[in-house]
Amino acid sequence: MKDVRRIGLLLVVVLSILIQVSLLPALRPLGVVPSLLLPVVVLIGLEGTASVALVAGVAGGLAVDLASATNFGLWTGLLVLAALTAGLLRRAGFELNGPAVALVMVTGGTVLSTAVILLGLADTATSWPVGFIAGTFFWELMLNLILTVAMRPVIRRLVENPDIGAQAIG
Amino acid sequence: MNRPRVNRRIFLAVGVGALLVIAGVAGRIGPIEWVYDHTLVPVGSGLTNLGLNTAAAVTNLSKVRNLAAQNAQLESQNAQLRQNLAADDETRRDNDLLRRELGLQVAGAPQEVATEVVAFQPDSYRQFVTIDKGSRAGIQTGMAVLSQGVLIGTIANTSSTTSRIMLITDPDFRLTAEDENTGATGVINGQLGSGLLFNEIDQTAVVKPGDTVTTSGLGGLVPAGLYVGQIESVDGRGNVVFQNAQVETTFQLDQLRFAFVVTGP
Repeated sequence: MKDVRRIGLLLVVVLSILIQVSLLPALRPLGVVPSLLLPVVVLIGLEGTASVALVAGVAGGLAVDLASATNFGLWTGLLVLAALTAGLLRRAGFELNGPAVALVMVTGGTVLSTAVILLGLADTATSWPVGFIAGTFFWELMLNLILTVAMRPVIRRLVENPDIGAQAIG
Repeated sequence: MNRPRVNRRIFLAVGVGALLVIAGVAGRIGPIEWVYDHTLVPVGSGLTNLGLNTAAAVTNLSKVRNLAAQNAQLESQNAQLRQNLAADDETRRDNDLLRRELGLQVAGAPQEVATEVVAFQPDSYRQFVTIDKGSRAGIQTGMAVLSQGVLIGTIANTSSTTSRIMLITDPDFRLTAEDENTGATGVINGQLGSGLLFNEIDQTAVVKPGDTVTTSGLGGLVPAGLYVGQIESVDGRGNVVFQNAQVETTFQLDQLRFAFVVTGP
């Protein structure tokens, strides 16, 4: 049973990476590219172990960085940070019965990634259409939060779910 | 599971991630890029097509009410374009004849490499696409790329088997262009939100809505005369020295399947 869950988790991570670098950028629901990997990594970190979340974060972040033409390292850095923070929050004994912690973390991750991408354009952008930026951020955040809620039961079933406490960071 | 072993795993994962990012930023990640190009790109291209087809189906469903009006408009545009084409054929024949008389080289169609789009930029703000041919097919950084009959961008970087196009609507895009009707030159800039700005036009130059904007061919590997779009509106108050204009391009990102890289004149 343990092996089946591990294989299931591996499949979810690999599929999430594939969907993140191919399907979502082509589909662009509501004109934005939501981040599926961010909720997946955060949820693995919060519901399972930080080391597994870190491996998923490094692999997923590197794949997205390779698919992206700009800001190399942004996604690897962001997902590693998300995995570490999730592990620390779990270790600190945050209540994990609801999705609130994951939703807050995904919101923070979305704010951070948007800020880095837009700051990268500070020197070259000829205009800053506030309506477009606000609308894009809003829909991206909404979709990321929906993905978090949708993925939570899947990840909860697949992670090994060690007791909250000293072991949780690992 | 004991703590030291766990901590070692965490340090190892963070260390490997940091090393890969540093190697990537320093441009020394060739073998991993090769693995990416030969695994995720081919596998993901099927999913990319699925995404494009789904997006197109949704767009078509939302447009179904306006199809009759759109069809009538396209028929009218088609008739106008046929007239223009006939006039252009006449002009081209005259031009070729005069060039031969003067001993000048007769201009031909540019050499192009046909490519398929295999991936899009995985964020909501930047505009890049990856195509399935690279330096092995003769593609070089800076070459122009056409699709749907218009300039859609230039090659930003290449590997042996794939290339990345910076789309004309990316906020970092810059290319010299000219107003074909008046000869006014300026710079085409992409804008956040997929707009297009014809910028840095001399205040004394004449530009007006409806004018055609084409590449100027000044510098780089982009030949002159590639269609960019039509001027939508002019803002003469840009600053004391320059004016600028909004340009409308007919290129649509959600319909981008194939791209043609201009490899020679």
